[in-house]
Amino acid sequence: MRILIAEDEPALADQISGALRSEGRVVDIAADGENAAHLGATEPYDLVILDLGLPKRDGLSILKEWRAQSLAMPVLILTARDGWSERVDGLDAGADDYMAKPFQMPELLARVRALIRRRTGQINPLFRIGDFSFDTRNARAMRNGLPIELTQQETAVLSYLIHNAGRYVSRTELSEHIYAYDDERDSNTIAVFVARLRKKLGGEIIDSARGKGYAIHSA
Amino acid sequence: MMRSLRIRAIVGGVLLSAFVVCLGSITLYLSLDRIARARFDETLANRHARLVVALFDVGPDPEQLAQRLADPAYQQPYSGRYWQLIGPDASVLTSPSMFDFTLPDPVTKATTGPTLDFVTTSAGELRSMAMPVTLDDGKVWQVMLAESIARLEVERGLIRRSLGMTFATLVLGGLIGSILHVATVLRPIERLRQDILRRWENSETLLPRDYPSEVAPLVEDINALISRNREIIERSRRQGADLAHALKTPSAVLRNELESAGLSGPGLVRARDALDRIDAQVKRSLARIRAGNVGSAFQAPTQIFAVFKRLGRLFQGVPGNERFEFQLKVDPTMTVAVDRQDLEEIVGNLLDNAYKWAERRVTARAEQVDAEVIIHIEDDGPGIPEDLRAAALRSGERLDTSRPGSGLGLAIVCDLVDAYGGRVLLEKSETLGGLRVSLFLPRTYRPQAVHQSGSAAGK
Repeated sequence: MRILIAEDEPALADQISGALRSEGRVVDIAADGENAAHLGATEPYDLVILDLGLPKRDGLSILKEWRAQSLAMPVLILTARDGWSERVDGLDAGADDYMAKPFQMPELLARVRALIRRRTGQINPLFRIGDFSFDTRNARAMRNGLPIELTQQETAVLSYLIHNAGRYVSRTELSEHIYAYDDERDSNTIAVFVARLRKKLGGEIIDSARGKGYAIHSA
Repeated sequence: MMRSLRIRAIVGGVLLSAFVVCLGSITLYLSLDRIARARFDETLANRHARLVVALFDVGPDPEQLAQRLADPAYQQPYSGRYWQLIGPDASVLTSPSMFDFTLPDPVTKATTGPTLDFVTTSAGELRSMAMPVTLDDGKVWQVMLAESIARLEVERGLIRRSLGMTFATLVLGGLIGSILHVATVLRPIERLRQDILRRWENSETLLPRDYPSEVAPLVEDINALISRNREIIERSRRQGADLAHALKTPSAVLRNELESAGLSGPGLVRARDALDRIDAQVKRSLARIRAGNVGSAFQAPTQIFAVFKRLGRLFQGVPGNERFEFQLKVDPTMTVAVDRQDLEEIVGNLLDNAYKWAERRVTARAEQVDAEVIIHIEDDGPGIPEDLRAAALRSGERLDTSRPGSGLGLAIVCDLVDAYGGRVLLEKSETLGGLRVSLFLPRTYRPQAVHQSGSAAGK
């Protein structure tokens, strides 16, 4: 799951990205409005955390522009503007959720999870097939109640497949959602990650089909 | 001092038209009156001439004269038409109509021409014409003819009445005319007023060339004033927003660091508490800055219904709030002289509280009472005990910490409502059993909003 944080305060952006990465998310940071508008319009994010008071461009106008371009990714507004008018304006502009600063990090993470789940149609935060389970709240994979150690990339691939369970995901799509903007991308490495995951989780969890990609079928 | 241009113009118009019509009527009356008198005298002179002719024909014999004149009016007593002959021996002959009186002898002012006079007799006021006439036998008779002026008076009364009617009609016409005239002249000013309101709501510019040249400079001034006013408000809002951003973002950073620093026990609790207090103070101060900007600015009317619709959508959209029944009973056209954002801030905080505490139902309604609009927001929650209501409005302290929130909502609402010269009343909801918050807000713009604490807790 790849998330864009549009936030001009570097310390806060670092804190949020750190918290999100610890949940297995891939994070890009845009420190100003122009950059945020460009990234949001060109990269396939699974969620955007948008500050309204950004330098160069106001967050609300960016959001309206995205929605006008039919970009439908969930957007959570995180702003110091806590007036009720601004909340309504934000939601009317197409935001999916609105949080005022200062905020509690656990609440932000919970709302991010809820938005991603709502988006992918999953109701239960705990994904289960047989004795394998994946908790989307902390990106932990378990088998028979025992944790499975995964690398950050492996977690990212697994998490994306689980959030899109029941559907084949191409290597290209996977690479777009598990690499941050600045990462070196190589769709061949996806095959390597999947192979490692199969070894750790057992071969039956991830299905593959020639020309279609990979899929995890829900139980 | 008449402050209304309309009344001033109408009174002026009516006075002017009354003066002109009055002057015209007097002149007309004088000339008509003169004509009426002249015509009366002419008739008198004609009758006198016929009397003289008859006298020449038949001599001073009353019976023959009566036959000759053939006018029954001379025969009937007090008919109003009389003749009298005074002989050279001062003998007096009269028409039978002169039953018991005679006309005074005007012989003293003997001339050859006729003498006209007014005489008062037992038959009333008469107009008399006298002329000495020398008959064929060389005797000089004073020939007099008199006519009651009653007919003249009737005619003059008629003239006066019809002139009076004309006068009244013209003045009434003048009044209606000046009302129409004033309405036409003042229409651009009335339109200007509506345009200003619309402009304020839609950020349009008024075009001076759309108005008469006398009003155009005023329009330019108003344009400048509105822009300036808007700038001031927007700048202070922006400053507020910048300040909020500048304070809240570091506060968020600090809070996150604190949570991840691995502190525990009383130290963490104390630090969290301190941060909470800072955040609450910042929130309250920003709200106060916002409230402080209110009084100086012009307020266009805000539709209450639209504000509730927007916020209702927000609250009903929050996951978990589907279980609430929100009932809105507000006339869609009802407006209040409170800035839209401020009204949304007030109503948003109150709805937030209502949704936080309600069991299942939240209602909002509005009514107009004189110059005020009263908005009631009620819920079926536990309410606030009577002895705590005043504190809830004033202190901004949390009465109950079992639900999330800063506990500042009511205090912020109070600050804003006070700034508009309104007041907040907390009561027990009679219909739902929970809390009823009543907001008393001005219906129309009051240039000097009263900055005083008008809010109170009711029973």
